[in-house]
Amino acid sequence: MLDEQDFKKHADEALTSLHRALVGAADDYGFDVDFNAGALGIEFEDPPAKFVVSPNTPVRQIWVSALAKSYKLDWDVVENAFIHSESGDTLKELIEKVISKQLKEEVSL
Amino acid sequence: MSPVRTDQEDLRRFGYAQELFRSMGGFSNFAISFSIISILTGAVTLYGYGLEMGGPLEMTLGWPLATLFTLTVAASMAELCSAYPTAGAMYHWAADLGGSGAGWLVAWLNIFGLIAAQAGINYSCAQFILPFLGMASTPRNLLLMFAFILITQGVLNHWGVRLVAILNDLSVTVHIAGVVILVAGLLFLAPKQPVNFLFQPINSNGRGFYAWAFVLGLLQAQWTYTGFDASAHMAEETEDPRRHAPWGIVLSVAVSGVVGYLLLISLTLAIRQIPGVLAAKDAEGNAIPAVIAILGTALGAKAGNAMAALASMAMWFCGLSCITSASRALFALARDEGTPWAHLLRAVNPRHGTPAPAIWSIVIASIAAMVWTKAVPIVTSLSTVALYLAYIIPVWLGLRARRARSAWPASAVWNLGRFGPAINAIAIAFAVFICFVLIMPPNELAGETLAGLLIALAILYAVAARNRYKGPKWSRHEVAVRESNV
Repeated sequence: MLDEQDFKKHADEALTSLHRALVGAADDYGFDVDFNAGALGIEFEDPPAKFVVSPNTPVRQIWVSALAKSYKLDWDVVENAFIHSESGDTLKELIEKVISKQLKEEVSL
Repeated sequence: MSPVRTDQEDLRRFGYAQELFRSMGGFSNFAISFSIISILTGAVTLYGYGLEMGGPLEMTLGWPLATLFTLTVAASMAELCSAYPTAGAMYHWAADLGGSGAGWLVAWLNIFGLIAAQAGINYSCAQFILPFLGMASTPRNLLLMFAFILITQGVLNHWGVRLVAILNDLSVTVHIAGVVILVAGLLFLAPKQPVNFLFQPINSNGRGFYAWAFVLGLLQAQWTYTGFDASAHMAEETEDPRRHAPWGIVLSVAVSGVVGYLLLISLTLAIRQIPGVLAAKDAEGNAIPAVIAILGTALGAKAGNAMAALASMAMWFCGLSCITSASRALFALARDEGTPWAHLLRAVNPRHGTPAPAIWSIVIASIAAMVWTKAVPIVTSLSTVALYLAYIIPVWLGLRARRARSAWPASAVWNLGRFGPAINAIAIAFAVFICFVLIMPPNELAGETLAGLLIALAILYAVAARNRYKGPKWSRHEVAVRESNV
């Protein structure tokens, strides 16, 4: 398992980069982004919904709640990224997918 | 995957790493709760109370009645434990099913209840041990012996759960062998009352209304049946906890019920006359526990002494396991940042795999409680009522969630099937009733202490915890998942 410091560094980088990408796209697609106490929130008005992305240090995972589902991503040494093992998506790909589904239009970050 | 790896994967779903040392099998998980229930301790310290209130019928009818109803509480808890096999136990069940405030309240009721139970039992243990060493029972000696007992238990808990498990397995043997020898001795060697003596409803403290005296006498059983949540607190240290921990909860009550019944019936049949047993005094004029008095007259003074020795051992095992259980409850709350100095209290000793700071906090809190209050009854009166509240609040929240079609019962491998709601309802009604009886005179001190604790907790929550403590992370994630789509 990744050691705690490494996990925190990777998680911080992944969330910061995701946050930057989301802020860039927020106005185009009409959703709100907040980054509070280490957790990233994505809020939609129509239809209303709130997705949350947060790191979980004890288990070295990033947890995503979206579309009434729980997604848990592990660090992949080969890909050098957080990967959702069931779909093989990276964090950014997963977020693109769930936002696209929510807004019913193709979203790219 | 090895079984322990599977258990670790299961724990990861709750967002926790395997920090505690997982090595307990099903028997040891049962043994820890069985040691805390401790029928030998309960029989020796509480038999006189039950006999005084309800006479022989209290044993013959009261004990099995209380056992059956307690089993509904245990079975309801077992099902929740199977769905949430974490060290937090009732705290986590309540937090997920009722929100962070409910979880926080249950956690502290549980922790204070266990500290109180443990302080009470270890104080009794000190009272029993001093005469064996030929020391006078002065307040100073009692306190020193009490602290010494606690430190031995703290050191063993610190060194490892394996050691505690071995001692608990031994404790089961001591309890069962002890009861078998006593029962055999009483049935074969002592003069016996005719069987119809067992059905006599006799109140010996002047209560006009026998039915109420009988109900008050049920507390003999209820004070004994506490602490079986230990099996749930050991979930992160037990192999296949979704099966073993629930069985530990239920079987510890069931086996204590059967073995305890044998003991109580044999003791009751050996009574020469009830007033003599209740008024027994030693050479210096100190009251003798009823059970020791019965054994003394039935089998001789040596049998009485042997019983006292057996009871002191049982009490020590009970105190040892209470610390194990309480430390896991405190550790689990600290891990979720629900206590002051959480980052210190949540630490796990890497060499032994035990929550060492939590263990020593419980030891120090117990000694401090005794030194400051100097009032054993205040401390001990709290334990059963606080624990039963901590047991039943999550059961009630679980039943409420079940009615709202929550998914939690689906994840309980050990479950009550379609009887779940009915058993939950009986358990809740019984626990509410017993909590009421627990604070009625002559035990109003328990009610006053509980009221004080609840007020203190409410103030603490409003002032300090509400804004800082948000509940376990995994539970908040589950809430976020439910609310992520409308």
